[in-house]
Amino acid sequence: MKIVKKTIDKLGKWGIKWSLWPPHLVTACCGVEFGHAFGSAYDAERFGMLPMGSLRQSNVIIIEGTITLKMAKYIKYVYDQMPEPKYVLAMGACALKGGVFYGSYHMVPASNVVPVHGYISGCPPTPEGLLKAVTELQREIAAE
Amino acid sequence: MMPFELSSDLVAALVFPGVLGILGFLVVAIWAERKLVARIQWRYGPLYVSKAIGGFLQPIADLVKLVFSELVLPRHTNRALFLSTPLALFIAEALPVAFIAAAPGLIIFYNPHGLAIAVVLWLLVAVFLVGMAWSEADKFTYIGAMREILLSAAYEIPLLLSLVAMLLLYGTADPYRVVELQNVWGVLLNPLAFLAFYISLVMSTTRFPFEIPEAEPEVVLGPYTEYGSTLFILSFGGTYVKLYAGALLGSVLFLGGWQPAVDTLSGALVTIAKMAALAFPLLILRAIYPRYRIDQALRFGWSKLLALSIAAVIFSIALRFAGVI
Amino acid sequence: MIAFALFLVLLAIALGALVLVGYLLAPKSPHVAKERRFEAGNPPFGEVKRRLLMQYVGYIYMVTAIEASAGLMVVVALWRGVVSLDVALALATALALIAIYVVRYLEKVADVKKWS
Repeated sequence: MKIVKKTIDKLGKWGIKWSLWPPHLVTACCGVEFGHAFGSAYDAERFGMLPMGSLRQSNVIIIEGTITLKMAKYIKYVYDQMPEPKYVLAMGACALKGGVFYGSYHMVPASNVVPVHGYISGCPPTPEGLLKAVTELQREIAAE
Repeated sequence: MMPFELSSDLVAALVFPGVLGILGFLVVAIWAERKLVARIQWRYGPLYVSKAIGGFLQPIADLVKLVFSELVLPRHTNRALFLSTPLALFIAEALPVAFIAAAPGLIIFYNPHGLAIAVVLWLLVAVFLVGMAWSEADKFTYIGAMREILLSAAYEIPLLLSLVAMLLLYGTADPYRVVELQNVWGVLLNPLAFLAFYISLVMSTTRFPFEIPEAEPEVVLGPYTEYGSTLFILSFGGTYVKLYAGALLGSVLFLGGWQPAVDTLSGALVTIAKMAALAFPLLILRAIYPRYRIDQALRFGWSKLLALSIAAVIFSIALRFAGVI
Repeated sequence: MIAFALFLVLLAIALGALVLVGYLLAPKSPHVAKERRFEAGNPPFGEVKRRLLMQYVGYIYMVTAIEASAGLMVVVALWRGVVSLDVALALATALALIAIYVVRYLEKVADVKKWS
């Protein structure tokens, strides 16, 4: 019985790992690099990523850059509305700690808004950085 | 000697045009579409999930992920309808398959007017789709449903006329007889009807130049917006089932069905090859074409496409009088 | 006929089982936001800015539905050859059901405010 449960669990983890679908949620300029990562040069679809329109089907939020207080509300809402196995990657120096807006009254680090599973540093990070974080996230999901 | 033998219609229901064929087509078509589009855009497409076989496991990984994702039933909807309409839609899209023969003996439900029934059932699908969108009660699904109805207004008449042209030409709607009559393939007898049928097929499966109801930049996913988890497979996978039914109907009516082959097994293989040939350009379209606006699609459907299909009917009647068939 | 029934039942069982397995296996954590309507990531607030006109949707929907079901009736009539008593009765029943539906629907549609 335990083995069956373990196998099913492993199968689910395998599926989630190879099919991370981010919704279209772009907060700042790192969105350009995010779009680039799906283009011909870097092709994030090799890892099974597919940008989805609706967040009902997607399971990973990639926070691209600065989060203002106003935007933080919507990110929290999107995160809450997403169905359960869900992951967050914070991309760029602004999402980490503030970047060029460090100490501003209207800036929130991503980890204060939603639980973050991985950070990508850089201003903006390269698409390679994003893909590295995605593979790290895949490893983390498999090891859970 | 086996203790009991499966009759050929049970095999049809279980394996080839039936359940396994439909589910297998879903997996292969989604994988092929993603790979082909990636190839055209100078990418690899899904790869690392199973590198040895070119990422063929990608649709299965997506399926597993959707199964393991939470099933959300929004509170403002009628939950029973919300759950059951995708199921009804999928089955309605698979229904026309039952009346079309894929090889000698491989038919689920034989009827001397089988092809006509299949066509009418095909037209019924839009009704279920709009019902589904309505039960979701969302503005995106509502707009998607409206576009679906308007698009069906654009393609329904040309589709019917192109099929009427072929049935007039053969003088029968019997799924076996139609294939037996095609010493020369239907596409060579009446190319106009094939063209009209093919364009209407693109419209009715909402493939790319007419991907108006689920236009992602405008209405998120159209009628499929609210569905996540397994219900997404049922609702969105249904469009591929429609493509499967359309390709089967097209290969029987226009490409001579299982023509060179005579027995069941090789006939089924020939039909599969012809269906693939019909479905392949439709999958590539996603990478090549931009999208029509709804008014452009309606104008196109009611001017050029309608003229083409009427010409096809007239051409068929002329052929019939000339005694070609 | 048996094959047709088998086809439908198998398809329904396969799809139903898929939904059921998903329901049983997936984690559940209900949340207020999840059960709300999908508004492209926005929480609902304030009054609607522009209302969508809905009063003609019902008519268009009825056209698509009734057209296709009428086509089905024609095919059934063709299939049975001459129109016999049972076919005529079935047609009459179907038409009566549609008529009842239409009448009920017209009452609802008459009040435009309900649909705007």
